[in-house]
Amino acid sequence: MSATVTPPFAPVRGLVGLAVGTDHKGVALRLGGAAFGFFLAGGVLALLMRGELAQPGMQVTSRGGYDQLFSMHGSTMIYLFVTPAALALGMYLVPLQIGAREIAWPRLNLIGFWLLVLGGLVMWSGFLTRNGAGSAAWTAEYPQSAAVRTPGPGMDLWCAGVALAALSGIALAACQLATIAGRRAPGMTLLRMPVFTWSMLVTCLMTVASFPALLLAMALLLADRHGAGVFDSAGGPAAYQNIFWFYGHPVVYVMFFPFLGAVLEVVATFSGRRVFGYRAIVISLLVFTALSMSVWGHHMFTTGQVANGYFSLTSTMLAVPAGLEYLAMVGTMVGGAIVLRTPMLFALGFIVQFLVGGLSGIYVASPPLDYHVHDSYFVVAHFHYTLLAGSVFGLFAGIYYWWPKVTGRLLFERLGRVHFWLFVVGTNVTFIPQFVLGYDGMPRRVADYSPAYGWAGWNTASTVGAGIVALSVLVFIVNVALTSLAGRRAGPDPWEAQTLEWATTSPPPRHNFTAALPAIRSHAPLLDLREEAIL
Amino acid sequence: MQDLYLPIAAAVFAVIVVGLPVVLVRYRARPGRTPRPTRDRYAVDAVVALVLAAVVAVLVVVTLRTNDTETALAKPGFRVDAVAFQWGWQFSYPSRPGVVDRSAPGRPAKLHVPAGTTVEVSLRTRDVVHAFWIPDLRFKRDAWPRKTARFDLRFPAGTVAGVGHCAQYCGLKHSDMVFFVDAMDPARFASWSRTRGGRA
Repeated sequence: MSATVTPPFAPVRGLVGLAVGTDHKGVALRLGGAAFGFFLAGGVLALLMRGELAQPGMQVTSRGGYDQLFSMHGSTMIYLFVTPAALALGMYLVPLQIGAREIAWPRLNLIGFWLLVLGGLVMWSGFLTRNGAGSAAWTAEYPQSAAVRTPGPGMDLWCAGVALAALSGIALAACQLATIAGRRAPGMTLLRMPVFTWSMLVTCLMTVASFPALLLAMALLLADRHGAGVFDSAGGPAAYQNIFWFYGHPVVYVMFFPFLGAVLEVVATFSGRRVFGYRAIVISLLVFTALSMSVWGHHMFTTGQVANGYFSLTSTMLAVPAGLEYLAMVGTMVGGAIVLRTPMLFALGFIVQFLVGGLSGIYVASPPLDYHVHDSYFVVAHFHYTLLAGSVFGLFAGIYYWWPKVTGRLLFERLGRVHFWLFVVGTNVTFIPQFVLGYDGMPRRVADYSPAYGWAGWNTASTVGAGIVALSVLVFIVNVALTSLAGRRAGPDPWEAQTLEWATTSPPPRHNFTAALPAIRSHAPLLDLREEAIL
Repeated sequence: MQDLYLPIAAAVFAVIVVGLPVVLVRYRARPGRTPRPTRDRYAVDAVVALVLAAVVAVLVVVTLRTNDTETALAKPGFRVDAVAFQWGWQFSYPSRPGVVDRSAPGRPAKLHVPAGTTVEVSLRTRDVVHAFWIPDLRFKRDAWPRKTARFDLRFPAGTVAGVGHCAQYCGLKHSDMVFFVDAMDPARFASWSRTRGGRA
């Protein structure tokens, strides 16, 4: 017999490989790269908006232009950046963390990637059309989004692009769920899965449960815009909002849990001990997930069309599982030996700054308080503290943490610190003024404001902050470029980490593991190995 | 409401912002220090969950009560019919037939109300969803197509002038959809009523 084993197919390389290669790691890198590209594009839109708002009067764009800017900024960041970035993280790591050779349904997974790219291009191609890109905000509320109110193909392309992104999310989440259900290595029981994999499991459950509502909303809206009159009735506008927000709140946790999971892994690794209260983390994730499906009406407190009391109750209850996650993060550090490397800095930034978003979230979960701040800059500040100052800090914690695993090289520590501190200063200088502005009466989605309101100073400060955020992202890009030229080699496990992805080479081979897996007796098998070596 | 929510939020934030640096210094990696193996203490989780649940219960009860009183309709001293449209406002007053305050291009409408009494607003929209927001009163309500929203406002005595905004994005001139508020004391209200042709 021949000693070499012939693979069932030859790996495809080159440009064609980039297009059709199904290795989950390659697809995840391409998806993450695409998402990062959309992050930069959406960031440019944000800078243009902040430029316009820095002073009263119209300086940068027109009113119609501004409507496209904020609509496409929100849509790009939510549909094309944070959601796919979260799913890309899971796509890369879940098979590795559970000791699988490959993701389940790799071709569907590849299709999910292409659907996202296609959706993004379709949505952005609106800028090339008459009337420009979609301009009915990221929510496209009816009847503002009806053909007669927002005419032109740009808005249709927006609907189609969002629908493709929704399909992409469903496909990608299904693959990760199937991987977790069927491809865990021997010994990898559900309650031995790393917390990041648990966070992806609940993320994907929410995705498959809620993204079909988005797909439905977009299909019906497109039909309505082409004469079907779906929502053109007394109950139509409320029906649209109910369908949309049935997707629109679970997605908030789709854009949060993976980064919470990443932060928990980072905190455990850099504290040198396993996470505190593993089962409490799992249970609170599941409770969070269940509640997430029943809080959508809190986006509609001021509409008079939903039962405010019920949705206030369910939304405020989220404080309980959220508090347990915070207990887990801090409890893991207590008793540890904490090393403040860049991933840990970003994790700490996540813990403090997401808290601002979470606490202001409890505040807006109370209808009498929300009646004032709803649709104001207060709410803009609130969700940017959760998404940018929270989730994106978690994302960068994950990027700095897993970069050496993915590329084999460690990102530079000093540039990482510069990136971190600029990002901290930038996000706070941007969004603290927006809390003040919103409370003082500045509505969101306005292109201009009267100088008589005295808002120019706070707005200028916010614009300066956005510039600092942009600078911090540039520092990150420089760090990536320099690292790829001259970064230190990482080896399989540069951090003394705990989970299976660190038991293979960096980057991992085509089928993830060449040597036998270590015995899996807990959610931290590599820590088990080190502890046994001491005994 | 604020008096309840803000101190709790500030306390939680302070615990983390003060506690985290203490933990980071106390448990920083030093030569010779090995991390303590993690022992799960689910009793701690349970206690934290119970405390949080109790806080949530208090917040929700207070919220629901406040919401009921804030959205209940009292016997009004004055009524306003407000109509939102792309892009402006129209205010008329059932007890002052023929008196209409309406936006014109470049000139926002002015809402005239008596201060110190309950004002019932009936809010409608002629086209898309708008929102009626007077920041000084800390209240807003959406104008929903083919529906009428009814709510009470109470301008404190001594309120002179204010401004209102449309808070719901409603297209090209959303930014311009402001209105002025003139809440008048009884003497001024009487003279306004006379000059605008109504009975006091």
